[in-house]
Amino acid sequence: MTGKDLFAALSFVRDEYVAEAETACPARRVIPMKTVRWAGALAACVCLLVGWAFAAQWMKADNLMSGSAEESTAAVTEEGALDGGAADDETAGALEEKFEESRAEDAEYAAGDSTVYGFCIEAAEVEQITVVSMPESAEHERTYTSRGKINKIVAYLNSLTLQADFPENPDEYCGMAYRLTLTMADGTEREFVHFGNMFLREGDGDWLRMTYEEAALLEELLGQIPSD
Amino acid sequence: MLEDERILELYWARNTQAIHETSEKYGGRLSQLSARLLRAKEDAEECVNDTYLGAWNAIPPQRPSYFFAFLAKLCRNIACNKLDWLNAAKRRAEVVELTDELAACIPNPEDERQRESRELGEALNRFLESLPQENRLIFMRRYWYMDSVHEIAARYGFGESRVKTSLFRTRQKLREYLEKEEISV
Repeated sequence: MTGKDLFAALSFVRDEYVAEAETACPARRVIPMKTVRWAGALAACVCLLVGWAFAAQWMKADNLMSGSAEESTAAVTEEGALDGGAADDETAGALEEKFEESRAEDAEYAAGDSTVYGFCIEAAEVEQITVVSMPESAEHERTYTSRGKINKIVAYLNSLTLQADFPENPDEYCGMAYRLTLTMADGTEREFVHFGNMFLREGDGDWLRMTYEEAALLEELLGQIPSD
Repeated sequence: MLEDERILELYWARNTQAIHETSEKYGGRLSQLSARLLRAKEDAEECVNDTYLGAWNAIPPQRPSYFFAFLAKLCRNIACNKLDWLNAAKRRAEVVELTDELAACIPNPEDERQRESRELGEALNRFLESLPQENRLIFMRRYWYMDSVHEIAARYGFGESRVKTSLFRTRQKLREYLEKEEISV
């Protein structure tokens, strides 16, 4: 017997096999229900994990927005600045006198046990000050390394009279923020966030409130003092 | 086109319209089948015409359940008989390839034992019955209808490697089956 005998013998296969080969298609594999259930459970777990990760990310972003004002978008207004041009020559004491009047006029502002008088920064110990705005804007970025410019910014921070107790809720405010990073001589850094023309805090500390005029002076200073 | 039952009724009524209906419905496929065995177009056409004659002579008394399968078997047998096995130059290369592949299934070609083609056909029927449908379809399309691997893959939406693997494994199984059945060359 040869291959051709086998080939010829195929002529005697049943008609049903010949017809089947002409008309039928192979049956599709049916996926067992157990496999479907496992796949569904796995897909549900994956969706839960993805949803949880997304929610966690969103909550973290929301906390950042309310806590540090990096996501603020409103423009800073230009009104209400103190008399322009005088800040270059003023010391912290002179600034204090200027602010006293504005505090008296501020109906929401009342000195009390929660008052914080400046940050007690030694200007001589500051090597560099960088300022960035949030949202970022090249127009408001500054880097100060000269002694005179550093002293002016430090004087500003030390002149503030800040309230720890205040009725406003910083979470409800939005506006441009400034991050001031003071690089100290010993290599450490002190970071201040100036937000909404009303609030200021150091690092992760609590928000402190200042008058609008005090707040607006920072932008005036930044406008008058270019980067080194 | 008439249904097969209607065509068979024409055969039984000895109405020559049966041949016309058969040609119209299955002529193309029968021509394709015969052409795979016979090189010459004239031989292939003659084979198909002989198929019609064979059907006319066989029906009645036969009343095939699968009319096309009946015709295709007639056509294939006629084509095989026409084929000149002794002159290798006249063989279609595809047929040589097919017979060579099937020769590998024969466990002991040196044996003198002979089997009648019909008994061998019965053995093949039992073997085909044991196969999964997919493997059986691929085997039949390859060795009965003489489709190419590419055509089989396209027909069923498989990759060619899947078809080749199926054919290889089926031939292996056929060899083992024929060994078990003590069918040898």
